[in-house]
Amino acid sequence: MLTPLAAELEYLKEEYRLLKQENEALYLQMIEVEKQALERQLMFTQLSKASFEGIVLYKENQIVLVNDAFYHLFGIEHRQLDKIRILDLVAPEHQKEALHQAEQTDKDWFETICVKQNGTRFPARVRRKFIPHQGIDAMVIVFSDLTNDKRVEQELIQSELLYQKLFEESRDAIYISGLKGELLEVNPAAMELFGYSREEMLGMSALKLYANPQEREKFRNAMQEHGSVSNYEVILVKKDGVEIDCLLSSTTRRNAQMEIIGYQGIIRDITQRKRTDELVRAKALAEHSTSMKAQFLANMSHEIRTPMNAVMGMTHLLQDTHLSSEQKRYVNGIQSASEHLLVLINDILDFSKIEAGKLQLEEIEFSLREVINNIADTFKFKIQERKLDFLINIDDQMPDVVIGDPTRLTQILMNLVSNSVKFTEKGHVQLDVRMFTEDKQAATIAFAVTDTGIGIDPNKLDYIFDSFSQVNRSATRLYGGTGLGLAITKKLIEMQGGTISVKSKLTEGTTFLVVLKFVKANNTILPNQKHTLSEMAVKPLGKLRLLIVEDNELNRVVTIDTIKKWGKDITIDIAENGEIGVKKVRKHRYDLVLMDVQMPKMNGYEATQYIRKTLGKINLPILAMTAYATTGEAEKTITSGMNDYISKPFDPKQLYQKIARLTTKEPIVLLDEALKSDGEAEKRTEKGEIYRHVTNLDFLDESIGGDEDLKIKMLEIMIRETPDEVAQMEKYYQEENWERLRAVAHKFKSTVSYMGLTGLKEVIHNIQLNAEKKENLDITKNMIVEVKNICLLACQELQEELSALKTNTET
Amino acid sequence: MARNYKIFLVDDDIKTLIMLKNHLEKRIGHSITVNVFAYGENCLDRLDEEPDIIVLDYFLNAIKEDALSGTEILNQIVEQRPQARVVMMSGQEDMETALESIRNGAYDYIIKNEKAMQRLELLVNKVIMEIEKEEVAK
Repeated sequence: MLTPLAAELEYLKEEYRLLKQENEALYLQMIEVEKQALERQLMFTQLSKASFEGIVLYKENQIVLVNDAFYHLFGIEHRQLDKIRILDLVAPEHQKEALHQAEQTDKDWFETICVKQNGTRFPARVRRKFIPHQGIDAMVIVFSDLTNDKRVEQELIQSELLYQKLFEESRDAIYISGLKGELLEVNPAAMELFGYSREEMLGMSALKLYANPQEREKFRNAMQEHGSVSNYEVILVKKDGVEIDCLLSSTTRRNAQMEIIGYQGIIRDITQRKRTDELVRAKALAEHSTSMKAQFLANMSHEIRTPMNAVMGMTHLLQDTHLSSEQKRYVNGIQSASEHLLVLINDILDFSKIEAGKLQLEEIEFSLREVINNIADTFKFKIQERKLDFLINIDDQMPDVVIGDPTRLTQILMNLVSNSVKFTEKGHVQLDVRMFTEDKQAATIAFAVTDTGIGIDPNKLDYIFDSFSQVNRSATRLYGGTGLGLAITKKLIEMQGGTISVKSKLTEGTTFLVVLKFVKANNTILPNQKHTLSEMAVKPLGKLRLLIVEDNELNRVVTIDTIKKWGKDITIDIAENGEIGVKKVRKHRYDLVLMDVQMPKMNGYEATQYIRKTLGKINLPILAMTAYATTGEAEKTITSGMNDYISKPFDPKQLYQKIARLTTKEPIVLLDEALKSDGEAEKRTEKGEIYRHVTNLDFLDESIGGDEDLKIKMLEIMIRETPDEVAQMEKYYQEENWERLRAVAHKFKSTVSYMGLTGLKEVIHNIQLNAEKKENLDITKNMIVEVKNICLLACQELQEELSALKTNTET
Repeated sequence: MARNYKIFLVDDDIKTLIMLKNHLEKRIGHSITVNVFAYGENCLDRLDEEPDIIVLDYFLNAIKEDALSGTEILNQIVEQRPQARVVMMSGQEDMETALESIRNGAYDYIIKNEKAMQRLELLVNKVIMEIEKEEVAK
């Protein structure tokens, strides 16, 4: 019984083992299949996620499945998917058309506008594909966002438009031509340039546009050789025959087989530019010839001065001979004409030197009062002759000795005074010298030359400082002169860092105001080198032995005869050149040598060097005589060892003084301020109203309402405070203390408005702004100078107003 | 009986002070006392005199470099004597500053130009009228 049971058990066991084995195999198989499925799903998810297109599986009017990109594209959340109808994805206004498109079975795509959940619309392409899904026909719909594609398309269209526009609106002519040069297309600029219509130009041979047909051949050869040509300069011709300078740039056009099928190019009209180039060249040439002219004038003036020396010297001598009254009149005529001629030559010489940049300024100690006195001396007789008054007012506070260029200061004032004298028939000429501001180092001094002459037309005021300008041509004939005087004066002033301004009223008079700054000298007293004119006659030079070294015979005669009149005991030796001069100096003992600078065979400098160094005659006075009256020349005479110089043609008075000074040990009788004794310095002008006022007290008067005491008070404050305020501005400018400059300028505005200096308002405002912003600081300096000059005049006017007011209230 | 009104003028330009004082004294029909100050600091020292109107220039440092500015003076007045009406004066280009001053408690502002005096006269009359009304209301 047990055996069959056991056998059955064995069998069952075997069965179980087999089944289990099979089961395990199936299980493994299953796992494998599951794993594959899982992997596939994973891949699909990844694929669907990676896609940029929204994919929908659509079946029986239901959305079955969508990919991630779909959610993203339409901005839909997973949970909302159930509620979405496929048609809702299309923008409502496009739904009808989309449905219509979708119904067309022959086309599996269409474009429409889709709408996101948030309402944003976007262009999209919709594609569909029918597929069986779980035995039922289903549809895969793919949505692609076309936004970027559309943009590219748009840009393409626009860039085409852009090129079209470029072609149409180019300022340069653009053409496209065929192989034979027939024009195929031209832009409007080309039509405009050549003056043809489009119809005329199309088909026309380009050859017709060339002024010279050979040029066209050359151009074509260049094209064939290089394939393109740029900036080829060529003369083309317009329809009306006018030739134009052009730059031509061209390239070949080729077809797909790279065969040349024609040309295209750009033509630029450079006629204007060429003309400009020519003008630039012409200008450079003109500038060059201007400086050549200045050089020529300087040379010529020198050449003219030499014979002038003889003319003037001989005239002086002739005057002292026995002449009939008729002869005397003629000689006087010669003298005044030659003096006049010399002034003109000097003007031209100065002007050309300034123009050529060759004028140098001296920096020496000199007495301002002496310069003024000299001017007074010079003009005294001339002014008396014309029955004018000459009034001079010198500020007591003015420093006596300053450092600067006395010659040029004299020249400036002489020019202005002689100008005033020239244009004044009656009344007076007045020279006011006032100290404006002063600090430890420097003094700013204002010189005002006022006259009661014919005045200057306000329209002409701007031009009077220009070269060769005299207020009108008839004035030139009437009053004479080169018309250079004021131009020179202005340049001389500007070279010294000063300013000049003018106020004038027709028929009433003119005021020139010069403001110059001088460095103060440490010495307060200079040895006075003045000699009275009468001394010349009464005081002979004494026993002297002189040597004149001069190659020009006429000049020798003039010099000798001039000097001989100054003493019976004067012996004069002559040397024709430096070499002879040196020999004579070696042999004899002279009190003075008069040395011409320019001579053949050893010039004046060389001779002086020789006398000083080789002969060791250090104390022998040598006076240079030069026709080059420049500062540079003066310096050279001093550095080469000469004691002083005199310019030819010389003024006998000056020569006398120089000889006297160099040969006398003790100073000759000094001249005291001659003018003071005349009582003229005390004279004050009675007429206040001789020029246009800079101040306008209307506002002040109106504000004050007739209260004269108040007006006096205000005037006094302004006269007192204004120079201080201006000086403060200058000081802060110097110290570069911009904040303080701003503050003071700001305050000064009210001063300006009370004085009615309307012209200064803007200036002051700009000073304030510049200081605030630290801008334009260099020109701010000039602005301050302008303010200073005008305020100086203004204060004078206020002073006059105040004096008048005080007299009124007293009476 | 009408009372006396006290006006302080603060400006670093003496000419302006004289002109304004003169103008007000001549043109204001009421009884007024005008005190002038070249520095804002001096004006502050005398706030206990109970000024009704203070006319204050914006820039006050032209004479004394470290002088308090108009704005600083204004702030102190507002703090110490808020009853006083402060009229700020400024140059034409300081419009912005003037408006700023009003935000900081100034009563009004005047641009310094040819019309400044007339405008100040108007303002002073206006303030006096306001004060009269206020005092009647009390």
